[in-house]
Amino acid sequence: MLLSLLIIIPFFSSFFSFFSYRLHKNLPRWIALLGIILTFLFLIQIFFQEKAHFFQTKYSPNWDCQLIVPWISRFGIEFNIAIDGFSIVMLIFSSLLSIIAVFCSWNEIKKNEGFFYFNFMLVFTGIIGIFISFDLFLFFCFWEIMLLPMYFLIVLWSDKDEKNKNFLAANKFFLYGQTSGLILLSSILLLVFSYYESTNILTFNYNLLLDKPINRYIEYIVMIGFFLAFAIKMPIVPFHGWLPDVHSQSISCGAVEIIGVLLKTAPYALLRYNLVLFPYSTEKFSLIAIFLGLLSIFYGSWLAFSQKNIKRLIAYSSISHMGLILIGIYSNNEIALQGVVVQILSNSLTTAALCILSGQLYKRFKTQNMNEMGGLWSRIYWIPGFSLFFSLANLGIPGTGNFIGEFLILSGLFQVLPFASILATMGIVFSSIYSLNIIQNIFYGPYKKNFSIFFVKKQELCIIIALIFMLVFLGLNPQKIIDISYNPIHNIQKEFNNSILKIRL
Amino acid sequence: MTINLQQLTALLPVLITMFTAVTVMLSISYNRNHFFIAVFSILGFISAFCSLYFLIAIVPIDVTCLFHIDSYSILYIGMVIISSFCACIFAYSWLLKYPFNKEEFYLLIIISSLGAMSLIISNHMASLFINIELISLPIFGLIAYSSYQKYSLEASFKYIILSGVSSCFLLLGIAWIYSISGSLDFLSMHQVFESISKNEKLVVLFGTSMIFFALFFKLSIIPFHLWTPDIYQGSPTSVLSFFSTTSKIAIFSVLLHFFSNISNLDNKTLYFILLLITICSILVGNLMALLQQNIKRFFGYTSISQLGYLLIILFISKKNYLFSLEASAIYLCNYLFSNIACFGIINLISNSNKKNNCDLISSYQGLFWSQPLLSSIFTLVLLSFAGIPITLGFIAKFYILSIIIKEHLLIIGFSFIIGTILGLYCYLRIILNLYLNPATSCKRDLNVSKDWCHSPSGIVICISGIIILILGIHPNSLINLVKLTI
Repeated sequence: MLLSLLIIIPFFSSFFSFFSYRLHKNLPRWIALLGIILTFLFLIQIFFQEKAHFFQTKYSPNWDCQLIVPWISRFGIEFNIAIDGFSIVMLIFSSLLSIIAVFCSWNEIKKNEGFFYFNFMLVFTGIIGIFISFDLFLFFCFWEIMLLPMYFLIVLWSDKDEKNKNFLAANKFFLYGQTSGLILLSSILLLVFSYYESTNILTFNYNLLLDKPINRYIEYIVMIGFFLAFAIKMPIVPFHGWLPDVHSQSISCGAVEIIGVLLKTAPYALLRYNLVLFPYSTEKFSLIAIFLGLLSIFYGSWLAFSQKNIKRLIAYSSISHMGLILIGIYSNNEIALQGVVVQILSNSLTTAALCILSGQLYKRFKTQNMNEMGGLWSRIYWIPGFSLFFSLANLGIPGTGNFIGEFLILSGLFQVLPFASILATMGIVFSSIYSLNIIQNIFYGPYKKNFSIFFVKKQELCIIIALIFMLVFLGLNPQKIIDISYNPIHNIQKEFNNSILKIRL
Repeated sequence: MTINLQQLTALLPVLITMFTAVTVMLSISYNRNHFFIAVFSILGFISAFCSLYFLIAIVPIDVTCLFHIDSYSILYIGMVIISSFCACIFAYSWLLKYPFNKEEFYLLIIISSLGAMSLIISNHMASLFINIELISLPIFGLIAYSSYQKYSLEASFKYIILSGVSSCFLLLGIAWIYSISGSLDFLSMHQVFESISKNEKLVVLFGTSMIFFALFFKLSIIPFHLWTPDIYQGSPTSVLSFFSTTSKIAIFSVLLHFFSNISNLDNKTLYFILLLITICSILVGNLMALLQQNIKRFFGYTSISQLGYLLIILFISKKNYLFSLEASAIYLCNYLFSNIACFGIINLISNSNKKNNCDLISSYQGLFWSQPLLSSIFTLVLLSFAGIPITLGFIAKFYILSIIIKEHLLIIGFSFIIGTILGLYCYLRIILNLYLNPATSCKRDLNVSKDWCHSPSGIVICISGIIILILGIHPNSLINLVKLTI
């Protein structure tokens, strides 16, 4: 029952915040904040209640905490939500980041607050739904529901006046998202119907679909469909067209939500669905995926280096890190998979922080062009230091979560494909180049414009400091996260290996 | 020929509608009273709808050789009655401002829906032809009803001439088939086709494709679609909500019925033609909708693609007839409620506009900020057209997609995906328009009264919006209802 509250609370708080706009201007943001915090508290409650289960070592086919309500019985669709260690880690982090995103937008949103928080909470609902749904149809529904409110967040509240560019970016986002959704739906249906043909059970249940006696070719096609759908969302290089545009056009809190949380649903889904549902074809496909990942790493970091716009730079660096995550997922190594979890979290923290910082700069200078800034180190308090910290974290200095993530992924990969691991390591060199580039261009050197020294508000300071603490915590004590998510990740890997072995025998 | 009581009961909705038509006609000749006639015809539709209850126990039943009523047609008749009922309600507020004779409007709608009802249950070429004409002839008048307006007469003339041509095709096709089968009954055709030679098959094929073309014309499928946008633009909105749903639901149901009867005429050419037509209507309809500025023309083009999706059902009607019936019922249900809500809203807005030229998409700009509820429903309807989850449209799309995947219709699958994405882009443009900052020039023109949702048409719009949402979240009840009727 607690589980259903995780969806019900944000969903209804979105409506409340919409209608409360009539009562008082500031009410929506309080309701949104309250909704997220309540969800977070319930998550903590579930976490402690089920703690014993999260740390258990025995693999059980039933999930730790599950709620099943029949929904569309004609197609065997259930409202099936469950939670395990992996999803609870993602859930806790996405709700923390959402709280930060609300704080970011606290004073920034000056028009139509009600509608803004309505959309914001709907996105949040969708994200939570994705992490806890164990019915493929339900998963797809949440996957789609997120898109439209996100579209509105991008279009209606961007801080720029270039309306046309805005529409273009948002439309791009929506169309890419819809394409991914349609491909996903078709492949889900293909999977379900081929399962139906062989077993005569029409079901969308994830646990039932796990043991699928379906045709290899169909499995391969379905796997490609799933991969495409998730790769568009992630985004991986040939499908990345929407991210830089969207990112540069949306407001900073929207960007936090996109990069920090929304993008992380795709690697989660890859881990949860692709590896376990299609072990045979995933194993065949893994070389291609690793190649795509390497391509993303290099392409992302090279293009990031040549960007003039800060936000585009962050977007490209995010693409490059996504490549690393993809490599980790497809490396078929448990250490690398655990690294992926840490990397997903820490990467979202760093990019979110960089977004917030660039948002701060934009608020003051009304430009995102790095060439127009310069020498800000002596002119602003706090921001340069923080930026330095986060860009260094972005390239993975020890002590931050990124280092742990990268290290685990690369060392895991090294056991399987040493050459690819070496190549991926070289990507870090390029990421250090663009990270230093951004610092050099903005904060050092002679300053190009005259302006008075300004201070950062306390609230903004608190947000950044909270992010730093989380990142350092991840860096110093990653074992906590690994412990919580150990069981499901271990199971995913075991399942994957077992099925491959079975097929080989 | 004798008709017993049971068969009379089976014809009850048709008889009630006939009675309503006669009474309305007499009352017009005696004394013109707009309010009385509107209420009377609405009551007539309600009682016809209620009379469907008596049919449930006695179907399936043959009434002479012309009609065959099964439980499936009850559902379609119900849909037709709902759409005519809503059209009357929408028309009332529009007709209040209409300067000329108001009452005949209801008469025309009643007669046309009479044709639609009997078309759904017709099982014979003669009744097929007559009822198609019975649907179309009043529609000529309805389209031209606002003849003082620009484009209205043009639209009506276009429809009269083209519809006449298509009727000729229909007759020709029937004659070709008759020359081989020697019977006009659907059922006997079914038997004849099993034992015909190759040459005869060619003749039958030609006849069948002629009939198809005529039906496709009425459904505005691609090569026969040229009239659609002009007529959508020219006709009054309350007529559109009737015209786009009633005639299309009725004609699609008869098309499905006819197709299931000739399905043993297994032919690659026919299949290929159907494939081409389906793909073209999905793609071209959506592509052309992208370029439109006028909202009525826009919905004209999107209706082409909507019916293109519907045609996909025909591909499995041979292998899996029951599933195709289910899918088409659900799709048409969504089509009905979305169209009612959509044209109801457009009607409401163009009625409240003083200048009466609120047909441009840009004139809806910023509607959300002045009418949040109305534009939320409009958004919901557009999302339902586009097939986004938690609307009924998504369930309908889900059915269609599951047909495609189940039968491995690869080419159609691709065009479906491309068409859906294009369609999304089109609908997105209108949705976005609703939420932008209102343009100053339109703000003065758009003054929908605050209590629109208390007027009858407002209630209808709200109810259909709620139906779309609730059935989208919980489609079980609709699916069970549809499964009951199969």
